[in-house]
Amino acid sequence: MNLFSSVANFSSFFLRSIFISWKLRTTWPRILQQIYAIGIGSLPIIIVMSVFTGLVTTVQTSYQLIGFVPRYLIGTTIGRMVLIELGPILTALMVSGRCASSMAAEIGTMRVTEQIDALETMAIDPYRFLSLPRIIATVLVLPVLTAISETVSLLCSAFYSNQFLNIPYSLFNYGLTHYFRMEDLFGGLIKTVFFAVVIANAGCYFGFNVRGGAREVGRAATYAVVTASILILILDFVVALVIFG
Amino acid sequence: MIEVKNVSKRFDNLVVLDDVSFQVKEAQLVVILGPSGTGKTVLLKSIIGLQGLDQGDVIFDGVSVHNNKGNHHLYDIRRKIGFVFQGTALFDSLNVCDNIALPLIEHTKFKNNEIRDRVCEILSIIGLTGKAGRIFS
Repeated sequence: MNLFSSVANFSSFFLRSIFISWKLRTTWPRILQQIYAIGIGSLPIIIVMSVFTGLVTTVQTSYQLIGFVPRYLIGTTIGRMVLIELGPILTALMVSGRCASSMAAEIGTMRVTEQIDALETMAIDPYRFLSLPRIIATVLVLPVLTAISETVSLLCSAFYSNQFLNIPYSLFNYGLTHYFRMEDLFGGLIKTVFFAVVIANAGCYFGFNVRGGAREVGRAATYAVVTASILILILDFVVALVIFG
Repeated sequence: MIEVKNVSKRFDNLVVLDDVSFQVKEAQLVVILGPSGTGKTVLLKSIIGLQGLDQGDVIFDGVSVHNNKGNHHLYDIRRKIGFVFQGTALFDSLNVCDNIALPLIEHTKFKNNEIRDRVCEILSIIGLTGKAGRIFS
């Protein structure tokens, strides 16, 4: 019962945040602020993560496959792994850890210090002012961050293959493109839209529902990251079943 | 005019407001005095609809605050009310200028330079000229 009511509250919070008058004239600047905070702010950590994802994936794949399959299949295997699974999910988990917590902490602090009440007193809808820009910005930014992450991972993978496994760039590229299907790329990117909704909604939902003081703000940040991460993993399975199953 | 009609509110077993009724006429000054924890803030928040009630209603200029569906009537009412919170509740992510400008940006169609002029005018009235770019501390 508790789980059902939590899911219902979480979902209705999202619907309440989206199905309102967007008033783009005043909301757009805040969307841009959030795009900058989430997108540009997350870029360094996403690039670092992607470099090592590309390198580790190549080491592990070559360890398991070299000697058993033609070497161009290293490019194929890594390409599909990164595009379908690793790129979207690792980027989403990174953004979740960085942004869901900060959204929950920021909005939670605003709740505790009555800033959200002050918005309502000024007849400003706090859902439009706080959650809508964060949800839209995350939905716009996460697919771009994922595409950047996938590109960086594949470049690093090609570099490692060339330098340490004697796989020429042309052969890696052949393997990467020969079995490439558009649904691999778009299937991965479509997932990120769902992940983005979950990340932003978790951050805003737990922030809005803070009651009490500093301890509850910290707890809300933790709940936001844990909930977003678990929902990302569940959604990953569901979307994989629908698109690739 | 504000009419508070038979308002009651309890938190668990603690009765904070018990059948409170009074009227505030236009231009009338009313002071509510009482020890800490006796419901002054709850009463004020219930007048602008931030706090729900167990019983009774508040009528603002003939419009019920608590017995109307949706938020639109509340937003219409709140545009006519100034409310200062106990902890000031200023937006600490915005500077002085943006704090003052926020309702103008949200509820009017003034251009940016008109809003800036108004903010400067208000700041000069309260003796804070030149502090528009500062962040609250």
